[in-house]
Amino acid sequence: MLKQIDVLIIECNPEDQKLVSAYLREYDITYLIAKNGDEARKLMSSIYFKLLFLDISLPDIDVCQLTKIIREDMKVNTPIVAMTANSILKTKDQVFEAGMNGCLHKPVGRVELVGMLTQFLPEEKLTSGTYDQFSIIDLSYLREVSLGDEAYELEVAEIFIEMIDQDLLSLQAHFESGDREQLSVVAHRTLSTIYIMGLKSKLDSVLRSIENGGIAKGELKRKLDLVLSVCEAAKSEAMLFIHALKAKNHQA
Amino acid sequence: MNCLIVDDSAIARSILKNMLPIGDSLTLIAECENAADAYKILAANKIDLLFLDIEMPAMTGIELVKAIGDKRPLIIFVSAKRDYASDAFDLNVVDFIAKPVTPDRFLKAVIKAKEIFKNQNLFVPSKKDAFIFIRDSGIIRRIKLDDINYLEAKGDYVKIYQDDKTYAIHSSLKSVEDKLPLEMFSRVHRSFIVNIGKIDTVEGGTLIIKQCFVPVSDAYKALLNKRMQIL
Repeated sequence: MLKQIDVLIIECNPEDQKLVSAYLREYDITYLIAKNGDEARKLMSSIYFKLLFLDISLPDIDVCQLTKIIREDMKVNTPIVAMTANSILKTKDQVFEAGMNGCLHKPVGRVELVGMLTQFLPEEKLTSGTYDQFSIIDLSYLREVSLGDEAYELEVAEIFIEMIDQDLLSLQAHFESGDREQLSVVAHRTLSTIYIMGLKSKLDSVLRSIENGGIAKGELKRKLDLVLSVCEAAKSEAMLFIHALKAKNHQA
Repeated sequence: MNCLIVDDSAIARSILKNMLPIGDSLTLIAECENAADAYKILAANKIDLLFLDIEMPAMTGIELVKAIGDKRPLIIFVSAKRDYASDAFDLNVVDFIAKPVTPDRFLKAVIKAKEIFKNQNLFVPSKKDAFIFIRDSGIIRRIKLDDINYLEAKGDYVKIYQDDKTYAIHSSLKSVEDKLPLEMFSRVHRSFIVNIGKIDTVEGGTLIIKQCFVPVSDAYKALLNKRMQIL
C-alpha cells in the first residue's frame, strides 16, 4: 500500500513554497514540496497524494506536458490546481484544456487556497485551531499571520493584552485633557493593535472617525465608550485564548 | 537582502518580523519604533529594504524618506491609512501595503522589491554613445541605443522597451536621461523618454512607437517638436 500524504506542492520559488506550506500547516494538511517536474514524478511514484498544487512555470518541464504524463502515462487522476503569477484569465483556458482542475493566482491568498481545499479535499475538516469559540475576537487573522506557529500566537496575544491596556488608558487620558491631536494619534495606533484580534469589522470605522476628529464631545464620548467596551471584552477573551494555549502546551 | 522594520506599533513590527521568512533570504538587521532611530540605523548599516509605517509620532515615514535623500534603500510603506497611498507612490517607493497586512500581500510586495534589487545598479554609457551597458539579473548586458524604442519610469526603476524585449534597471529616469545622447532621445513626459528616430506618429497628447502608445505632456511638447525638426 502506498504511503499517503494530502498535498504535493510542485513549485520552484522558495517564497511561494513557504507561503502555501504555511497555509497548509495552519489547517493541519500534510504536504511535501517538489522543486521541479522530475522531483514531483519521483515522489508520486512512491507516495499517494490527494491534491497537487502545480506552478505553471517549472524549470525543467512544460506543465501541460507534465499534466499529460501524470494523466496518461502514470494514470493518476489526482486533482491538479495550477498556480500562476500571470493573469488567471489568460492562463485558465490553457490549464483546463491540459487537464488541470483549478487555477490560483500567485502569491496565493488564504481564502482562495481554502476554497480549493474545500473543493478538492472534501473529507478534510478544515478547522484552523481548536479554540475558536469566541464571540468578540476572531482569531483567523492571527492564524493567518502566525503561519501556523502557536508559540508565536501566544507571544502576540500577550503583546496585545499589554498594548490594548496602554492604548485604552491613553485614549481616556487624552479625551479627558481635551488633547484632540494626541487622541487622534493614539486612535490611529490602536488600529494596529486591534487588527491582530480580528476586531477590524467591529472597530475600524469608529477608531477612524475618532482619528479624523471633528466630532462633538458627546458623540466622541459615545464612540470612545464603544471602543472601551469592545476592547475590554476582547481582552477577556484573549486571556482565555492564552490560558487555553498554555494548557494545551502543558498537556503536550 | 538586509531589512529594517520601522513601526510605532509593537504588534505591527512583530507581524512583519514573523512573515519575513516567507520572503526568503531576507535578513532582519534591526527594528525600531520611530523615524529618528530609523535614520540612525540607516546611516550606520547597509539596509537594502525598508518596511516603513507612515503615521508615527514626531516624524512620519514620508518625512523620513524625504530626509534620507537619494542614497536610500528600497522602500515598502505599510500603513493603516490609505489616504497616503498616492503621496507614498509619488516618492517612487516599491509598494504600499494597507494594514492589516496579509502574508500573500506581503509576499507580493517583497517579490517586487527582490526583482528590482536583482536588476539594480549600473547604467554605464559607452564612449561612442552607440550603446550602453545595463545590469540585468547579475550580468552586465550591452544594449544598442538604436534598439531602444522608449523608456518608462516605474517606481524605483526604469523600464527599457525594445521591439520584443523589456529590461528594468534600478535608476531614476533623470539619471538615465543624463546619460543618453540628446540628439537621439527626448523626454516627452514625467515618466517617459522616447527614441526620436523611432516615433511613428504624434497626435495631440499621444505618440506611437512600434504600436505602443506613449503619453506626451504639454510641458515637453514644445521641446519634442523642436527636436523632431518637423518639415
